[in-house]
Amino acid sequence: MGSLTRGGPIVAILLLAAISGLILSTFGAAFADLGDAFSPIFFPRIILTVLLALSVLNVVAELRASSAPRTFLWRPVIVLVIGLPIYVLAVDVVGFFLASVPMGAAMLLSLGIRRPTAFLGMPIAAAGTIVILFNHLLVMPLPASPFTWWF
Amino acid sequence: MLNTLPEALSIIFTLEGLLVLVLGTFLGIVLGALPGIGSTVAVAMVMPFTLTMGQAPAILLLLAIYAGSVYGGSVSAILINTPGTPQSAATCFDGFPMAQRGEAGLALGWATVASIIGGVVSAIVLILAAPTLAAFALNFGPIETFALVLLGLTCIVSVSEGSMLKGLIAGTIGLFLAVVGGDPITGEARFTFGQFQLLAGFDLLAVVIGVFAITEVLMRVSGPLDSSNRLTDFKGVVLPRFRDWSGRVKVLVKSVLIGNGIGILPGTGAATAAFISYAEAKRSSPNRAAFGRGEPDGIIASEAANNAVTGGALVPTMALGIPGDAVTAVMLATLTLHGITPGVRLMSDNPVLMGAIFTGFLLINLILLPLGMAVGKIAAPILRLPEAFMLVGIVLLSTVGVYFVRGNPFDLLVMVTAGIFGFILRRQGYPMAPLVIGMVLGPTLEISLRQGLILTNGSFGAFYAGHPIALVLGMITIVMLALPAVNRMRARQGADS
Repeated sequence: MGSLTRGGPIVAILLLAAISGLILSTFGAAFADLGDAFSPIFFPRIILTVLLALSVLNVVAELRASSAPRTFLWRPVIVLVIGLPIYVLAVDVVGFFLASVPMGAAMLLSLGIRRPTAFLGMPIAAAGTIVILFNHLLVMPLPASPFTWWF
Repeated sequence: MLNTLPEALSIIFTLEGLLVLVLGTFLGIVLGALPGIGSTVAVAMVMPFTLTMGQAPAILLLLAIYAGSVYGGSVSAILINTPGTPQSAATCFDGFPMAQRGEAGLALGWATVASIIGGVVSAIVLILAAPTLAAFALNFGPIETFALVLLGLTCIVSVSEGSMLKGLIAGTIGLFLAVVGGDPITGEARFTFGQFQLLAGFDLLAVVIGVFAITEVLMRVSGPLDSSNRLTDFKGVVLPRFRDWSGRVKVLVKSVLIGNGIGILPGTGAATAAFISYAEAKRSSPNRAAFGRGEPDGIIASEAANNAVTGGALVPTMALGIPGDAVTAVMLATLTLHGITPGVRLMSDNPVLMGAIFTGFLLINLILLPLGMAVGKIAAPILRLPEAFMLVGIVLLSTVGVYFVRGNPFDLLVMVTAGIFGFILRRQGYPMAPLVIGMVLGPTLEISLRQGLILTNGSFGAFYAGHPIALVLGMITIVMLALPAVNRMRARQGADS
């Protein structure tokens, strides 16, 4: 039972569950019945069956394995895991520059950079350089803010 | 062709011709180094500017961008573990570990020399053997392509560090990700779960940048940052010494041959060549034990092969009018726009133009050296920044790169999801390289298998029976799969005795 408290078996079981779900979904979906090679689900079923077999072996191997604990810093990981999806959604809404500066600042703060000139200055400089390069020199515009086309 | 050489050289050695070669190659390296732009986008971006040029400078400009961008992809792959182009993904495996141990300049040096040799040899092959090779490439139907891609998939075995089982799982996940979206034959949606954005499938570069760059950022922040910053010492490209090549020439020659061979086959591409070459080098190199931990042979294999593809891909484009990959498809369009009809009569109808193009392509590969060194010098001050700043830079550049592929914000979500998924898997020891290999080779594997089965009325056995090329490739695949087990058995027997 102790092995279940480690990440390895949990990830292996979740993978197995997801693959089983995907295989089941191929039986519920309606596809044109055109014969083996013509069927859109022919190749994916082969792949998923192989994946299922490998995943079963993997669960068994993970339950039997042991691993040493490693250093894990939660704070910056949580900032990124929560911040990155919000950031990429914000890029389309407020533009690349206005989304990138707070994201960069949050990352630097979580990594222990406390000087405002550093945690604010670096993202402003990096995002600004990218905007100038792509929007104005290469003329390959990134999403702009709703306020001005400059950034 | 030799009798047209003086006339061909007089086209190249003009102010316009030389400017096109130098600026085109430099721009190609810079665009290739920016994650996400890639060779196809770079060539397509520049194509409209060629409409006001003459035939030879227009084609030379595109060739310069093409060759420059393929090499440029290695710069970001080595320095920040973010492949500028998918064909440089295999360069990350050994290039980035070298950079991490303070040898970024040398890693770039190996990549530069291997790229130049790969490109120059491919240019010579293009000049000497284009029509003959193009005719051979016509023997490759779906069954032969299936056998070739299956051989390519064997490199999953060789890049699976730590656990073979986890490597195979990652590779099969990559194959599955490649089937999401519209079916290539019937067009029906597969595994889209009602999301119309998934109809076009997962964008390859979004997933590649996610599992390499974003996963790397998450891995780095999850542990204590390296305050020493090994890239501080990076001052530019350091060329390997002559004696450092001892024992590596065989890898280089093999990789160039693999790149050229795969390049002439329509629809396979530089990424496939780089992975197959890497796998072969890992199997046969005397330094194979160090692969994945910063072994120059790994960089040589990947870079020599992907640059050798450039000349190879031009063979069917020029001699048959069949593009070898997406970039040469754009070039084919440019040739047509300039009133040139590619095909078997191209060389006999336009000997001077073709002489100028081929000689120019050779020169482009030679000037990669000074221009590559110049780009290295420019990149050096940026890389002396603290690691926390570099990580922010990687996130911003990855976002820009993925956005430019299709201008689709959904791809950004795919990148982040792939990055987080990759992080969870990597923490548990699943290698990410097989996932990318599966995704790169998946679409070709599926379409060639299904086309092959249609051709043989559903008989898989007939795949190898009446197809000698497929049979030879199949036998090589079996040998590649069996070798690691045989080597392990031999090692065990050696230890016992």
